[in-house]
Amino acid sequence: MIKIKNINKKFRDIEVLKSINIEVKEGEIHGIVGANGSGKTTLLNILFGHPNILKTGGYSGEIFINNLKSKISRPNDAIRLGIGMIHQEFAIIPEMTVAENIKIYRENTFKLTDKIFGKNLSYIDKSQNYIDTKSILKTFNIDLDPSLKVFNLSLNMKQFIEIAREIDRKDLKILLLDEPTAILNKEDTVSLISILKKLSKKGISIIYVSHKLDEVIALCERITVMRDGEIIKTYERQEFDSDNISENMMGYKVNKVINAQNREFKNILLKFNDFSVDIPGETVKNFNLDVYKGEIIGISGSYGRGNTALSWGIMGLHKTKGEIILNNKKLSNRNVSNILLNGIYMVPEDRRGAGLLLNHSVMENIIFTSLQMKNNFLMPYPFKLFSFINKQKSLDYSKKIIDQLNIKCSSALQKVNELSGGNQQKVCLARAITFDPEILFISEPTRGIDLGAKELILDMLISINKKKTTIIISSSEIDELKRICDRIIEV
Amino acid sequence: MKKKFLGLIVFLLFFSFTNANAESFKIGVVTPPLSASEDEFRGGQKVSKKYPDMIKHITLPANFSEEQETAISQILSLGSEKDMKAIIICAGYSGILPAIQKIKEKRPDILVITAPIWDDPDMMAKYIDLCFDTDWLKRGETIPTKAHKMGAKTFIHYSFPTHMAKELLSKRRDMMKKTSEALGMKFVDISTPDPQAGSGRGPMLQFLQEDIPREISKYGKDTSIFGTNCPMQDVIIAKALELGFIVPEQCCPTPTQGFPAAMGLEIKPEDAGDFNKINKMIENKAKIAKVSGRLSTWPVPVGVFFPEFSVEVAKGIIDGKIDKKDIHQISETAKKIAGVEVYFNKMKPNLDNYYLIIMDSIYY
Amino acid sequence: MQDRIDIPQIIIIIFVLIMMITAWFANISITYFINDSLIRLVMNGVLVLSLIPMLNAGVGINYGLPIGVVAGLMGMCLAVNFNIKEGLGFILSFLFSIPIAVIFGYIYSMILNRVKGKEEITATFVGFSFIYLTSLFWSIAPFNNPSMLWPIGGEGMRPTIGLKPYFEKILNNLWVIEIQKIKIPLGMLFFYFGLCIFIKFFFKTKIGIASIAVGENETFAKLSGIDIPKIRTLAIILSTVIAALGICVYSQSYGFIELYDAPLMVAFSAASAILMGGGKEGKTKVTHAVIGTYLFQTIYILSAPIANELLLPEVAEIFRNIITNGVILYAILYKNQKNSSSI
Repeated sequence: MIKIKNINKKFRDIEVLKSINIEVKEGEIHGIVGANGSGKTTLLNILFGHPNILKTGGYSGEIFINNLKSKISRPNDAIRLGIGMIHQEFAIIPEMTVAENIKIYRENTFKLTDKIFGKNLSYIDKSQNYIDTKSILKTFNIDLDPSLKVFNLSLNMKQFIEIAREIDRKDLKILLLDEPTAILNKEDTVSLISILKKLSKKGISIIYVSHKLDEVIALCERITVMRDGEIIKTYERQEFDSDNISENMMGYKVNKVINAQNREFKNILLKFNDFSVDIPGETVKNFNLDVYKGEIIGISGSYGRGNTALSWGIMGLHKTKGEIILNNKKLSNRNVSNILLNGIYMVPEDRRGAGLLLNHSVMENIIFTSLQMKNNFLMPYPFKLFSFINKQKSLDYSKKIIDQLNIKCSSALQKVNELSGGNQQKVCLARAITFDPEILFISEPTRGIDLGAKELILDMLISINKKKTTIIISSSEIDELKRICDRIIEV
Repeated sequence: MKKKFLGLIVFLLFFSFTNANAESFKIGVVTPPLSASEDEFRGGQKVSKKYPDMIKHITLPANFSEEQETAISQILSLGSEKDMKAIIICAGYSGILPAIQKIKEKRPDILVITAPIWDDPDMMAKYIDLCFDTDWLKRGETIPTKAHKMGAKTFIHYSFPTHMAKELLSKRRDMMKKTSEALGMKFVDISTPDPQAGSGRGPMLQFLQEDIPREISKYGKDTSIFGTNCPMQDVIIAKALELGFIVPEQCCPTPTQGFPAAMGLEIKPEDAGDFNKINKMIENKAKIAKVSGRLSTWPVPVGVFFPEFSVEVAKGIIDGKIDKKDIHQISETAKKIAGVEVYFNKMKPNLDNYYLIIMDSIYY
Repeated sequence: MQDRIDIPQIIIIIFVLIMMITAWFANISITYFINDSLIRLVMNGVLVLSLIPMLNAGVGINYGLPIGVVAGLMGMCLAVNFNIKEGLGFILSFLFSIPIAVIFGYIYSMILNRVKGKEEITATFVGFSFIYLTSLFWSIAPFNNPSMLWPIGGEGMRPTIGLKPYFEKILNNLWVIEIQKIKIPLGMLFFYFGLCIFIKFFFKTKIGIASIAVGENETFAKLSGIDIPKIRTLAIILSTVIAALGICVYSQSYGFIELYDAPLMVAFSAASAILMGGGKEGKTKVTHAVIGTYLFQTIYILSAPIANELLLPEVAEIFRNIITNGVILYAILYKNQKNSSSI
């Protein structure tokens, strides 16, 4: 069905894909796994004709679809060839309804106006669209009113809408999925997998890119492992072995971190009383929790269901109701700087958007909060506000912590933007460690990070905890929570 | 008590009656407001101070082009006053003629003098009793001639593309060139950055600051510099004080343009508008800077001169002392007001009521 | 990466080089050119520097530059009004204008902090309307030094006030040394580079670092406990104060205080200059401002004499406008491209 021959791709001088050869048969579900930065997404982007590929100089090599050599340079080419793609970031229009999003560019129209104005200017048959949408959503076992606007929906629902849009296409031959389950919870993942299996029975070829090995193993007939832009090995179904595959992905053996069990805690450090937070798209209502000094609490629940809202709420960045009691005292001044000075620190889930100064050096990112809030790393001048950084001290400290956390960077002065996702997350954590908080809120610490780095980060959290910090982790990765948390709470 | 009161009323009535008899007419003066043009406005104020009972001074809307209707109705309202005998319009706008036409239809007896307005000259001559304006084009001849008399060997003309796109200004430049060459002076045409091209006048003025010393070192002190744009004059005169070249006239010939800023003239509020004193001050400053005889201009700004002059002419005509066809009588009046000789030239040979003026200069 | 020279800088440098070569052939004196370019660098450079604090704190290009300029004009008018001459007058102009600029900047920041995301267009209109508001002020201002009043009416300020008896070129003529006809205004350069160093160091202080962080990523800064409105206010006030000093430097060099609508367009040439130098929101360096000012002013210094020499005044005008406006356009395009490209 689809044959990729000798694909090479360079960004500036960096080779991101090196002679990739993959063949996917009709009706086959082909998994592609690999650590972050292994080139999976770039490969999919080439197949779907992402404009950035052309902008950055195109690719070399050949793509055959149904044994026909095909040139894909724009998404339109891909669509014409029957290729559909479900993106990691959503490609849906929030201001439009569910039906409009799913039927976009394939709307049912009235025959009469088709004749008069032509297809492009024809009048849209809204009720037929509504019925179509309803039935396609049924196949996912979703009962949803298709006339709702998309921005009202939860994230996993949005993901389904994106999937539904591609599946609705009558001419779909090849479906590309890029980390489709990153934000889905377990049940939704199961239903997605069953839908994909049905599709493959209809003869649609599926390329499924993910770094979640268990899903890929459950779903796919063959798995190709990529690392550093190269294909390491392609496994047939009977050869599947998760340890081998993960070692192939990482290039080394990964040991899973486990925290000590059955610890006991006595002192309540932080109390939430009827705490409600209202963030657009995410709400927590009447939340009650006692946090004991020294424990690690996991807050599970799929992304978008309120697990991250708690940490944003406590930092005072959104409207809240109810009270927070810290060390038996009501925390009433909810100014971010006051919260920080009370020893509460938050690492947000959106690293690039909220957790890092991308254009600044690793060092500057590490010391920033401590410098601003605690006047650490300053020269000993009387006017702290206009004092300079003690560069030597900051540099020495940064070097130390870079070694300690094994952050891969050319120097402490390298820009954070140039680091990989895992290393960026480590920089975020390094800043937290530098700030040395009493209580650490951390959201989705391992999202978008490959296996090896994941374990390092989890391990780091455990070691911070051992020193003194109470940690509250929100994550959709329930098995990770199980391994390191003393308690897990569902929201 | 009653009688006394009655007597007072009779007295008042009698007094006002006789007063009306003595100056039984009014003259309306129309100028732009202060914010649009200081000279004309102050000129209007000056003459209304001179004849407080006779003059009715009104100002046009500041943004004339947008509120033309208002302007016309203002002028018409003057014409509807019974004892109004003359209307003087010193506005420098085009589009006022219709108002004059209407006034003339209703009250052909009202004398209308414009100094100036800018409508079609033939039409103006037909409806307006007397039209005056400055002879802008003729200055293309008088300025280089004056410069030559002051000892200039080179004549520099600073301007920029948007000015040179205006017919009058480019014609005047050509005339200056012709005159200079006829007198044996070298004519140098220099283009500055255009102040209307987005960055404002800053680059133009800065260029002048830098270019004038260059040109003077090239052509020597006996060079006359003329700039076509008002803000230029500050820089040109300031540089003249420093370098001693010749400034025959500014773009708008008046002691109040360029000189006050360039010389830092300290004009006290009570002296403001007193051109004798201002001219004395300039003369002194020129002496101190050792540039006596190198600077010249017209002693009174035309904007200030015109309202007073026109009122005097109108008054003379109404009183029967001046014949409006007699240009000698008119120029005598002008000389009295300006303090120097004022030359009148016909706008067109066939028009006998449209004159362009050139004033004699004052040399500092 | 970030310090590499971008396409517009290359184009402009090529353009300037071509002009220099032409000037050489057209026999335009190189000494004049060097003298003028140094003076112009400082004269306009301070105003350009004033854009940096706001740009780096993410408030955008300060198209409301006239606000600071008016504060400076008021400071100078006060000094002139009290008849204080020479260096003392100049220093007092600074001292008078700083508190005015602080007050103006504070009010200005209240406006800009309300319109987050639309600061540049708001600033443009605030600047414009402020000019007309102050025009009214100038015409009724109770100043009484006769050398500043209207010569005919005797009240209200003249549009241009000569500084010759006061502090004209006081900074230009400070410590001038002459090397082979090239006059180097050391005092002026010291002042300028001193200010450059001040701004550079400001961004190395704790609060300067915080303001750059606000410019780069507001959420990040917020999560680190930084009071964002406070930082923005500070940056706006700082920009306004430097702009006020900038106009003082400009006026003493020009020799006149220009009132009324003279500062109307001042923001645009300053913006062109800083964008030419490669300044970008959140990461503008002092060097960007210096290089930008130098290139921008050099184009002006060279283009007019060359155009006169070659008898092509209109063409020079057109070229200069295409290039200076094109650079702004490029900067805006580049800004949007930066936001959308990710792979």
